[in-house]
Amino acid sequence: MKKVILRALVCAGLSLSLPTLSHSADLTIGARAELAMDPHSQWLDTNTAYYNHIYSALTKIDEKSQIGPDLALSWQTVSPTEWHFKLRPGIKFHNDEALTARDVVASIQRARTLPNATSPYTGAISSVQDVSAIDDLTVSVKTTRADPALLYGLGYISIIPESLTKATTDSFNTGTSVIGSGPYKFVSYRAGDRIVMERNPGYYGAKPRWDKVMFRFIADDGARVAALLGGDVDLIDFVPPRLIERLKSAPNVNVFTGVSDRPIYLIMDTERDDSPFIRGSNGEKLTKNPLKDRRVREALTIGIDRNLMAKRVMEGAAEPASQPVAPHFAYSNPSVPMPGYNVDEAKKLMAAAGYPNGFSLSVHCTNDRYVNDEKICQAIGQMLSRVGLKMDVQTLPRSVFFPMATNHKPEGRYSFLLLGYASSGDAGFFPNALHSYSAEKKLGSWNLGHYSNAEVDAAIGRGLAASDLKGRYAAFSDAIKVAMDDRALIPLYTQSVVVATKKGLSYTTWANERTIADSASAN
Amino acid sequence: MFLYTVIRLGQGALLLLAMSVLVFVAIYAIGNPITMLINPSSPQEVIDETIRRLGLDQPLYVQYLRFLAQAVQGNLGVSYISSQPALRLIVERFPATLELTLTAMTIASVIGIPLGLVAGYRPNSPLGRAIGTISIIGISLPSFWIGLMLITIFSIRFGILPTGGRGQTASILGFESSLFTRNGWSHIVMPAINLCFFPMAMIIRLTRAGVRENITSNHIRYARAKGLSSTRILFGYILPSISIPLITVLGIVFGVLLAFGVVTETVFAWPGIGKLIIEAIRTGDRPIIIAYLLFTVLLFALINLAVDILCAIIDPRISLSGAR
Repeated sequence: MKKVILRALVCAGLSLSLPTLSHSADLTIGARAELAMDPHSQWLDTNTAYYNHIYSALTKIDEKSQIGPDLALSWQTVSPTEWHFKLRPGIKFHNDEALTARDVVASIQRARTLPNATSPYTGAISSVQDVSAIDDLTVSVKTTRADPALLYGLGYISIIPESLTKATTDSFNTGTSVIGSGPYKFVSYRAGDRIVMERNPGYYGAKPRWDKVMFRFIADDGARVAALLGGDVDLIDFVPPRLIERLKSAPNVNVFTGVSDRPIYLIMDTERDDSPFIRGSNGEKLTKNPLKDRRVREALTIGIDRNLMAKRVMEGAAEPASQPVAPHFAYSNPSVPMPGYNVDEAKKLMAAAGYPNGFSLSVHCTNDRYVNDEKICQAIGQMLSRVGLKMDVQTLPRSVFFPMATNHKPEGRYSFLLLGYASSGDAGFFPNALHSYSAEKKLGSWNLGHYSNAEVDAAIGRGLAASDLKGRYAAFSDAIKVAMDDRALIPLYTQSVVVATKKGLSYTTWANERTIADSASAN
Repeated sequence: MFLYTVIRLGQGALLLLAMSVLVFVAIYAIGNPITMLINPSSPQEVIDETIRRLGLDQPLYVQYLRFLAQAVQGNLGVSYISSQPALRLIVERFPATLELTLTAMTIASVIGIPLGLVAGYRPNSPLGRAIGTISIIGISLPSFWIGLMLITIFSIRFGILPTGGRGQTASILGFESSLFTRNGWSHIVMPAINLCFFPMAMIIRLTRAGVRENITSNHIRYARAKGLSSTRILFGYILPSISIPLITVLGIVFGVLLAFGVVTETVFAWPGIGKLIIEAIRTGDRPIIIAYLLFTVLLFALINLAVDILCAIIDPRISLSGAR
């Protein structure tokens, strides 16, 4: 009898203590980028990564950059310029207000009309003409033209309660207006220091993994890595390549690498006959621009050793690229061959084009924008010197580089420069960076060498006029093949995404380099 | 004294105006910041519209006058990156930098002044020479290297101190500071030590030189002859004599550390204004840069005014209104 009572007491005691045995799972992330608290003020992918935690949107992108439903369960085009989105029923905001079509409409309107936005979201949804609520769960979006890529743009617009759409950017900065419907609720924010969120128990999607998520903003690479090694954070993003080996050899750290959306390539001035940074091999002015000759562009392309660049200069955190679009998008063309590496052939081509002694060329790059951009620039200078060119390597901070590089007047711009243009679902690379420059038609604003090819333009035009994404991607795929055959741009490599965590955690990387708390899991 | 203060404040205002013109012209010369800030996938019409809305297509003097009109109302612009008012950002982050700098200066003074006095009083003793050498090392070693070494040794190797950031703060008498919590102390120790080497070295060398200069003066010889102890002479007579140049230089060093303690704040992820300005420069966030530089000018002007008044109070021979 005593034993039975004893056993019963022990069981009772255990069952009482069981709730305390379950531990809270918190995640602390050391993030490189800080965020803007107003979700409609700055259109930046690093901002969207944060908003993915707190807010929902009509659609959302997954880690392979494919679009899928979020608030909108389904959609249809009732006409080429009108879309109807059917919302998920029963969604509540973090303040228990119900989410209806009116909130969606108000949020999209706010994103389109917010004053003082330096990178306005109007750029993401430029084809949207009007938004209205047909009923509580249906939103109608009217566009000025057929825009099959609308779904991608709408994925950037965070949905906030209609009652808060009159809120100023200031009230977001203090945190009072930060109400969303995402997997995590806002808790606190200290500018320049950290943002804290906690699980939203009423979330409509997959159960959020963590009880509390804290992002600490540590912009300096060395300090961020030190924070992980010292155990102050559980996960860090944007690991610099030079520290990958150090982290891999640390006993308490895991390193995760994945392919990213960002190809890095070289742009050549093919418009001006007197290009300011191209001179003869003795410094004399040239009568014509050597980069206008396809043989010279071919020589430069095969004079660069992409494998060496990816393995050594990028220390494995890159994949050699055959074209300036990321390979996992349907509009990249698999029939474009990877350029070989052949210095002798390159020299022969240069001689055939009339430059047996080469010429002088300055290459311009940023030194604080892309991973290892300064080192890549120097590597390019060295590799092209072997082909016979007199190279001058200039690296600049991006605040100086970009205004000069994007100046489309004839006396501006560099002759030979490095750029990274992220590939995305809406394939903005083609009208913005490959199509010939036209100020009136608003095309080619990132075609910084003013490359112009009627066949490429025609293919891009077909793509822009296509009624669905498949047609668009197919036409763009043709365009990139023609462009690469003509050596319009020199593709180098696609950056890799590198994330490091403490032992006991694993992380699935995102192609668009977003840092998402729920992609980390304890194992 | 009151008239003097008013005149100095007026000069400060003129200085601010001149500085604002300089800064504005210099930053304008860099070029259009929009291409760096705006998402490259934005269509051209959105880019043009944004340039127009921010007034960046206006000529330089129009932009400057617009800025001036807003500035006198206390609005120094809104950050391009975070959309927060620039002045508010600076004022919010300033206490963190002030706290760190005051801690570093206190450590530097408390250690540096006695060491400097000893080194000056007995320059040829082993202790005196050692102090002199240490002060040279303190100035020469780059602070980012010392910072990273401190983190590597104490945070990663031994794990006794955190790798960065500011600790929890507590409020006493309305002042909020991380010095009032134990967690705060563990976070401020390393950055403060990292920051104190430069001022400490300066204090040691200045004090030492001052002592060397004063020790041969008549009143010190008389005190020695009277048989006063070394400690009494050092702290009671020599220290007040050298305090004028010491305070003047300390004022400047304090201002420099406040405005440009960027390296320490970056390495230790300390959320102060140094980290703010370096990020603003890198991202081309013009309103923050302009607001910050004006703030710095004001800071230096105020510190110098305070130092001058302090010197006049300490030394009755100094007349603020100039020699008669």
